Amino acid sequence: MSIAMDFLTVFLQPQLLLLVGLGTFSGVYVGAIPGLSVTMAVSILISFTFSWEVQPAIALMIGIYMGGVYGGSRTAILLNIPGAPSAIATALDGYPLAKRGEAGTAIGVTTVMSFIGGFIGIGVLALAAPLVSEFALRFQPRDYMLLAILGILLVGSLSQGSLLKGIFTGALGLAIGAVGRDPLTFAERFTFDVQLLEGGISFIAVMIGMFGVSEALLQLHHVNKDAIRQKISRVVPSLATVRKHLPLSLQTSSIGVVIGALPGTGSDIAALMAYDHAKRVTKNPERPFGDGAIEGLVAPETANNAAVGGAFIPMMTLGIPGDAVTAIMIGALFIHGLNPGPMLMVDQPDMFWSRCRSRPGGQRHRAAVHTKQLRRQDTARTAVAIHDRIPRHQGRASGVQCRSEHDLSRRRYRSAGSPCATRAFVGTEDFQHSMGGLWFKRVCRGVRAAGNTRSAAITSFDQSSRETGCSSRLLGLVHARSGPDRPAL
Amino acid sequence: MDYIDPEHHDGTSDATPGGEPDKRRPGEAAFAAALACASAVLVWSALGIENPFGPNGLSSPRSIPLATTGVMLVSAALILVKTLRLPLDRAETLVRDILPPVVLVFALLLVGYGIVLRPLGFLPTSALFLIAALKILARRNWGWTLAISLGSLVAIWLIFRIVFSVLMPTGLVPEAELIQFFRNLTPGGAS
Repeated sequence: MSIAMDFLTVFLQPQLLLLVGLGTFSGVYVGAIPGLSVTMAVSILISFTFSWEVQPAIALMIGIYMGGVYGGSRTAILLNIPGAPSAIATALDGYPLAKRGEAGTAIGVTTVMSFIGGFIGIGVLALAAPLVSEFALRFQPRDYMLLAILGILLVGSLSQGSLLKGIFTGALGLAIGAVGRDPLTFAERFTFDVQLLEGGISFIAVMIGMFGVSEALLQLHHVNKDAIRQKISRVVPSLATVRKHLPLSLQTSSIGVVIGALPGTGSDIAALMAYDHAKRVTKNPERPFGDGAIEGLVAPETANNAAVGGAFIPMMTLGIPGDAVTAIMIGALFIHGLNPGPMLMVDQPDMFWSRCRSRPGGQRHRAAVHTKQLRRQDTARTAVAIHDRIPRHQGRASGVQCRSEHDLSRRRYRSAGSPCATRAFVGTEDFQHSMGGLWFKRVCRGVRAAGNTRSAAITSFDQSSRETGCSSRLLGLVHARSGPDRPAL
Repeated sequence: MDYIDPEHHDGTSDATPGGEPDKRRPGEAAFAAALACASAVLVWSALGIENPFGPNGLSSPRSIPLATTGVMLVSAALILVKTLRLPLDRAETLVRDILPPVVLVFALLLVGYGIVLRPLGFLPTSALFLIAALKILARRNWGWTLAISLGSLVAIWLIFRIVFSVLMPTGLVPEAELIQFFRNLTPGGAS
């Protein structure tokens, strides 16, 4: 009951609702500007929230995150330049619709479907977070490799007209990704003795070059043509349209949640996979895919917003970031004195539900029951799961640097892990009596591993925010706030 | 509807690859050949990547580069052969439909932008680029051109540099000193 009251209290605070709205509004703008990523916006705005209470800070960041993922679709539809990688698939059908003068319809469908996707993602986070994270943790390195190959094979579906040209451009993308020094052996690849290329080529630069510059050069062919007047009389799609595409949006939302929950993946992969799924399951679209099919908007937009909720699942339940933004948020929670991971829902249940509240309509009653169950059993079980699997995820999420950081922080955390581990065991009395000392040891080791995960998250966060120039300030604060039961990074 | 009629070769072609799938557009074969040559160069470069696991090492820094560039070379060669087999579309010309002077000028301007961005800095280079672009495309008076180009540049600079702290090449402009000067004007800004 008290948890439910906590949730209601958080939900009814107008200040928090206002901050979520403000964050979403800002996120839409940031997401719509190619070159400004949500990761960058969140990492910068964290620095403004250092002195805030934790709930307003998180409310603002989640608003920016959700708004940013949605905002990328605006320029994708209007200019054929995705504002964010997650909107690449949206441009495939959104821009042809805008060229037909139906940008309003495209934006309307995108908005409604983003809402549905985001709602489902947050709903799954509220109701089935431990189950999904358990599934995500079953992914072995070979599964990640197969997932990557599946992503490459999507080229066959996404390339319209000529499969050969699709294969060529897919391989070209991989070759561009290989530019720079090899992360394991530091051998130079395709650098041609140019020092600037040793660090690789930024994904944003490639995206802007491939989409933005090419589109600008194509538009130069139409300099003397009259602009197309857009029909903005009806932006909100009809109920019949929404109802018609609801089954597809539910399917692609589930794709988004699962892909988002996998550490190291993100909403961009979810959107592309959902687009491919829509192409395969839609038998008779009103317009062909790539020529303004509404299904081509519904699928990626629901999936990329559902992936946001999915990305929070491993973060909230295990302390493992689902993507770059959640890695930064782990850093932010850490700065605010919280320990993201299996204990967060036990120690700070109001924090968990404040995230669910950040999208309207959180599942209150079931949520409270679920947290009580979690208190008894899932905490210990999840901690064990972390222990069994964490080193692999660290390697995947953050690369070589994190592996070395992992070893370093494990040694440091070992000395400080016991108080945390003891606290992890509080609230799991039933489990304690049934499983005995063996489990206790495993839980202790699991919580130590969770500490390592935070280190990896901070390292990942440092990497992702290095370009913004604020990482040193943030990490300085992390150092300053490292208490006796927290690892010194 | 923005429909490009392929029969009206009046410079309004959108130059979209595959605009007429059963015909070879002017310059398409040369472009396909250039891609094949570039792929061959990349394969050669990939072969030269250091392999610390010996010549028979299955997993090495050059495995993925060799595989991807190999796929590029094979697919580019197939694209070239297919393109050469298509009949040439004689109704289109390279200069009018595919690469009109304005596109060429802007491609060169972009290359020039990339070259002088570091030595000159973001602000002067972008100002020159925007002024040239607006003058060429809009062909309006200097006052309008300067107002729009410099105004939009200032807006972009404020958003990227001030709001989001994105560091851009400063070049000739003493950007840090300027920002500090304005900070000093505000109470407590100098700290």
